[in-house]
Amino acid sequence: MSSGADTKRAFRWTRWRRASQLLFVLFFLVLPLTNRAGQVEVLGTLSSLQVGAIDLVDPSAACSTMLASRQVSSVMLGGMILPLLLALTLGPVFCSWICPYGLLSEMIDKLRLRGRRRARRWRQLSKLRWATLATFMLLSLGLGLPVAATLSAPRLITVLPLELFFLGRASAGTLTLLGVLLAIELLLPRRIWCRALCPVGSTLVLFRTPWTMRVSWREPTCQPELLGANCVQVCSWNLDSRSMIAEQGCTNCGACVEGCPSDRRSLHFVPGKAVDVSDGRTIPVLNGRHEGPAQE
Amino acid sequence: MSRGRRSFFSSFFEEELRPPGARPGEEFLSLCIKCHRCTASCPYQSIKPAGWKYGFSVGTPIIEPREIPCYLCMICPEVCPTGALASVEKVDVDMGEAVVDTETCYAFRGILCRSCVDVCPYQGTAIFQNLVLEPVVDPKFCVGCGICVKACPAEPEAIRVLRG
Repeated sequence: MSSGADTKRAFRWTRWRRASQLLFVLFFLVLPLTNRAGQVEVLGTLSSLQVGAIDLVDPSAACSTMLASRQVSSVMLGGMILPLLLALTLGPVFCSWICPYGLLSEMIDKLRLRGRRRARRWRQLSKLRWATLATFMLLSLGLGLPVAATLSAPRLITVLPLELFFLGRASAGTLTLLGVLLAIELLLPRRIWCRALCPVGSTLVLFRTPWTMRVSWREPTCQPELLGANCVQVCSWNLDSRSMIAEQGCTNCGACVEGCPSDRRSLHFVPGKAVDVSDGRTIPVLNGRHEGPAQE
Repeated sequence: MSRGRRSFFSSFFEEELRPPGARPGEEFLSLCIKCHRCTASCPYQSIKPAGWKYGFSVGTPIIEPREIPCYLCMICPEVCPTGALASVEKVDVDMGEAVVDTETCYAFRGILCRSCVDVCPYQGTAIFQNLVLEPVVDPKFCVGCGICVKACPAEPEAIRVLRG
């Protein structure tokens, strides 16, 4: 990596992301303690959280339960608004910046990779993702059980401290499901739950639009071959930031942006359609086709 | 409130006691997203996630009255986001009904005991003593909170809350 003194230092996206993840871990550790002390203004898990008068409901759980019960309620619909607004504007940042299970999965992946020279290339999982989400939703409808809500990894991981502080032990159901998730993390392809199976993330990826914040790149300065950089390996999901397709599920974690060794920082975040034209050569790469350099 | 009929599969598993305001049977299962806002809101720690012995209900909120019954503070129905627990007046709560086991109940065996009658929040209507001082439950008024189950000195308990 070339990091001369004259080089503009890349923004430490990963450092800030870790801080954000740890903040939420801390939040869900402290929350049950305050609830036990009688505080009921803020309560819940990442399935549904009440913050004063505001209800937040995980969109996949809300959809799943609406299909299962064939009922619609204002709280379920209204509770989805803020999570979906976040996904619409900043992308599925819930997965990379908020979800404590995502952090756990990243840590397990790091341990798995220890000692290995290089990661194997990942296959495209978009089809698997949509098939899994459709299966969960159809199962919800057929069985009359909110399957997606039950299997939500963020729910399971945030319900755990609640059970520990309220019951003094984890409940059998939560432990079983977390055990299954752990087996998937350890035995199946890297981070496959977060990348393709988790109904929470898949639902949020659905809401990536051309206006959603995404990673963009500047063609003339981006020469990974010359710099000997391997941007694809920098991405924890092995996505190529230069030929990224929206439905590949980039969570805007910022690892590629931070890891870009180019002096002029070829990769950067752009707020959706508003393309950075400062050098007139920014190329958004949504949907796999280059929209072409802006006219000078 | 009509109680949900039990499905073929759920008949294999133990019957669960739900927090107050719970929708009947399978409707509750279809609505509950197991967020446990109700668990976190309960000041008595009465509500807890069901174990595997409750079958499909695993992970959903239940009350085991022999450990901690429901003290009818009526906070939990208000925090449920999906309507699995619906707002309900305290007197209209219908979690189930208490049933006295006349074989093991002390009062039916000639021992003077009125533990269940004493603790009932609807004492006099939901549960009362008959002329020979045996406890009698009136299902019309019993809300199924299970406070009597907790108070029963018999081992195992001689009064239970049954659903439907």
